[in-house]
Amino acid sequence: MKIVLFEDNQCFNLRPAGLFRPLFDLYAGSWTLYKLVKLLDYPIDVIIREHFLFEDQGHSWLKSPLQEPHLFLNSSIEPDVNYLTEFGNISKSADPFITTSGNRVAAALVPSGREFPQSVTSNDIGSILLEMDLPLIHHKFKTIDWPHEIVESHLRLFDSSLEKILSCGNFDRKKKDVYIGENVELDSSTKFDTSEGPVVLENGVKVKPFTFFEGPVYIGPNTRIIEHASIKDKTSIGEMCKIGGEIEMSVVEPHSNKQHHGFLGHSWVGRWVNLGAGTTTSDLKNTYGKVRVVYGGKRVGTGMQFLGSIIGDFTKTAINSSLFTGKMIGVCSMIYGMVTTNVPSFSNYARTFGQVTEISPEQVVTTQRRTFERRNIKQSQRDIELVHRVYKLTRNERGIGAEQITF
Amino acid sequence: MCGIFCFTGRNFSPNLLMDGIRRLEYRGYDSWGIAMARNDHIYIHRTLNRIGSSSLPDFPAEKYKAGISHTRWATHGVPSIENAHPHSNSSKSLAIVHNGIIENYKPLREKLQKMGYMFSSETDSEVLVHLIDYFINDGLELRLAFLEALKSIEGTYGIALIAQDMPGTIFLGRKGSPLVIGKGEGFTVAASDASAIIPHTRSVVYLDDGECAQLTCEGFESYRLDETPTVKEVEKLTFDLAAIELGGYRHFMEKEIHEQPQTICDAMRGRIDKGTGSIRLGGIDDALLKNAKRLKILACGTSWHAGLIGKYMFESLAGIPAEVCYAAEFRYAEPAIEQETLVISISQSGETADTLAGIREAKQRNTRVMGIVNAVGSTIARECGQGVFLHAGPEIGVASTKAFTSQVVVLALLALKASRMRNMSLGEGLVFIDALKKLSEQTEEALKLDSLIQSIALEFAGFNNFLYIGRLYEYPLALEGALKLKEISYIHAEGIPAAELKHGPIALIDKNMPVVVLAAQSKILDKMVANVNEIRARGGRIIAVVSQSGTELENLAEHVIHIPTTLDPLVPVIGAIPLQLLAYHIAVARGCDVDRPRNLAKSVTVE
Repeated sequence: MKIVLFEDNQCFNLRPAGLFRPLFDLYAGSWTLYKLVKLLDYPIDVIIREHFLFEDQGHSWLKSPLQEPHLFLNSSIEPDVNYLTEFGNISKSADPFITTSGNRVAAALVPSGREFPQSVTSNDIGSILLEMDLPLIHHKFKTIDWPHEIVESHLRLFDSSLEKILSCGNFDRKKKDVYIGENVELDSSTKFDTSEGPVVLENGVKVKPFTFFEGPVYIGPNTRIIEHASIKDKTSIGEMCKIGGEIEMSVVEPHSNKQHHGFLGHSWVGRWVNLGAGTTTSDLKNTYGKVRVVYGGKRVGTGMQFLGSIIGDFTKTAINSSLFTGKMIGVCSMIYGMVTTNVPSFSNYARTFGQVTEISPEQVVTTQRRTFERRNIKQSQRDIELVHRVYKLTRNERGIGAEQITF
Repeated sequence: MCGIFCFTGRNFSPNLLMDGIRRLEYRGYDSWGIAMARNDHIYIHRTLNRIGSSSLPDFPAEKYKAGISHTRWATHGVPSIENAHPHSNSSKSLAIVHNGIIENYKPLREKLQKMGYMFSSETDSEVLVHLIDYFINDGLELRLAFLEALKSIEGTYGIALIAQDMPGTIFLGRKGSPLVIGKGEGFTVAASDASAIIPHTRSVVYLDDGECAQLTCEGFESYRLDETPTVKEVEKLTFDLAAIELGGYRHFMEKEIHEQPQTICDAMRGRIDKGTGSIRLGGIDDALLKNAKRLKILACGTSWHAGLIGKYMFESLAGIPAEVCYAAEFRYAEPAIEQETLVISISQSGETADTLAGIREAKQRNTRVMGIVNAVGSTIARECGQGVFLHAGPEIGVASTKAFTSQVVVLALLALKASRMRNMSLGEGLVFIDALKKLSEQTEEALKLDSLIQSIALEFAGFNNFLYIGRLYEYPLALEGALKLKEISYIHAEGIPAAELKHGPIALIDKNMPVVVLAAQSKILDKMVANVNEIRARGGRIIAVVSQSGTELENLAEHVIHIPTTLDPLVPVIGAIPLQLLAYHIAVARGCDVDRPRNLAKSVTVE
């Protein structure tokens, strides 16, 4: 049995998420699908979008006819730890099936002997699996199809995710429902409220004085929590982040900074993001009504009363940036002042000052190099190439047909 | 459905080819053509209209050794000389005739065009001759090139090929479309059915699906696509010509009822796109369905009943408000047509005058129109410009049977496509597609009820009134069942929404009133049980059509007919079979002329 994580032709609907990384590497509920599937101990291969493929990569590993059964899992399946048992069961039984979620193939088990076309891409893998006439099973796994669903899934999955982390890891139980990894520096002034769920601090976490944790909360390895931080209620912070101010019900992916005061709520923050001091998201409308978001120029109801912002990788906000409810912030952008509309990728967004201009990929590459160096990471040629590819991919966000930004 | 006739051997003449396809004219008659080979060229003659008493232009008809001929029923491309068969390659060294549908002709055509092949017709068939040419240029000898071409195509075919290089030889291939070979002294003959062979010989063999044959004047050899030879048993034909045309049935209506497993399959052939859980239709712009905010369906008679089923499908599956109008009423009612309305017109013949007038009225009001038509090249098909063909082959019986079920299938395809463009999920789309794919087999199953229904018909043939009741998708079916009975047996019959029974018609019920209860849908079975009890209490005689899984009416109805279970919107396709059989057998029992009922015309071309 082999597991194949595949991206399909609808992955781009999750923009700005997943532009710099395949979607199986996206955090919701403190797990990524990849990390979860790895627990199964089967060999894993991937089918990823074209812009992630370099000369020495490809999907040539897919040998036709298949020598063994392959379990194809859509990389947008939400990383629900409860799916693990199901993944395990279907892998063991190896009974062929296909199942859908919304408009996508969620999973398929293809028996050995089946033929695949010579070249398989993320664009056509869904159709190829559908045309295999595998027995249809209903509603087995749910996929995350739109950006706001990342926050929705995260909140729904968080409690069980945390339980799984605790059962897999090696933690000291400092006091009731406070779990601490190795080399954690915890100031004695730190206050915990675990009445609604545990607080988990991974190896190497440093917590500065006067911090307040209200569980359930997860802090990833080597992350630093700045003085007076208030981290609450289903918040998950990735590894190597710097976190301060007030955060609730949000995901911060690895290597991002939100060092200073300001509120982040019901939001998803990508990797290598820097939120300047005073940056604040709104996650509730003044009317207390359901939040509507704009996708592709159309207003879409999310059904969520609380929704902050979805912030793409490598984006930076200036001091006192204010992000209105339910805004999608593209990748590699720079934000100044009030954000009252969605923000295209690769944009200098200073709408309140009458300016929205494009940022060149070269400038993004330069900033990326500087931020990588601060974490002792060497920028590779592929990192640079990927910036250029994503710049091209997101061109339509800034083009004439894009959502109009009025002044 | 088209007709193919081929001949090789002594005494070959072009008139033999003409006589051959004249006998096959009932299979299609919008254009015809012949091709004959000799070692320096291939002579081709194609022309429009019926072969009837047509004759060939004068030409020196010597030295030709073999020929193929074809009478066409258009499926891809209107009836025109360019689209008529035989088709040849650019050097005119090969000629083919084809009966069937090539599903993957579009990608093949594009590939060949990129390689420089010039196409002169809109047909799917022309790709075959260019493909064979391509494989010959690639170094294969003729026989292998023919096999390679057949391996490259998806769909159905009965095909015959002649070549200048082998002028006395005819190659045949069969998959889905019939081919019969006849062997005589010094000649070999082949045709789509035996009616064209009988004048030459009564010794025949029937090619099986996936078989090919190579014919010469000395005889033939048959083999599979992988070249393994097959052994064929020679059969002696004992029946007469008229019986062959009717395929062993007593009437065209009966034959057409029994053709439905095939015609239902043909209505969806090449149109199901499992890869997207939707439908691909070459004849309409996607935007037409996507932008439609409202539908008006125009039709008459049986097509109107199909339209009413379509209305339920569009509304419940796709959420598009739809209205079904009698075309003649629409024409004169000065209808209010809102913007973004799409008019769907339905006509088997494509010549129905009332429907045509309705289409013209709609077009005059700048409304977009599309057609669902069986006859390619018909006036309605041409005037609509966009639409979906039924591919049901010619319908000769005046009472429509196979065209009705094909219309319902095509409407289901359209409704599925419109739904997938709106809010139907991929999973729901796949479930619907799986149900569509099973329909042909389930119809076959339903046809096995023939003898049961015949015995019921004999029992009820003496009654002079019938009621048909049904709800939702089975209400239009009740109308259609009643219409079939009226048309061919001259019994007064009414179709009524089951719940309406108690609002008036129930007064008609007594022991002399047979009631056909349609209750094969899962959603409304409980309500139908209540209706049946109402009828029973008043002494009505009940014939119930239920699904195989429905046992509720077992002890309540006098006769229970079980049809295979399918999704509710598709019940009318299978449910039509017992109603058609019931009407047919009652009419036969009453001694009515089933194929030519009094006062009726097949195509109503007057307003």
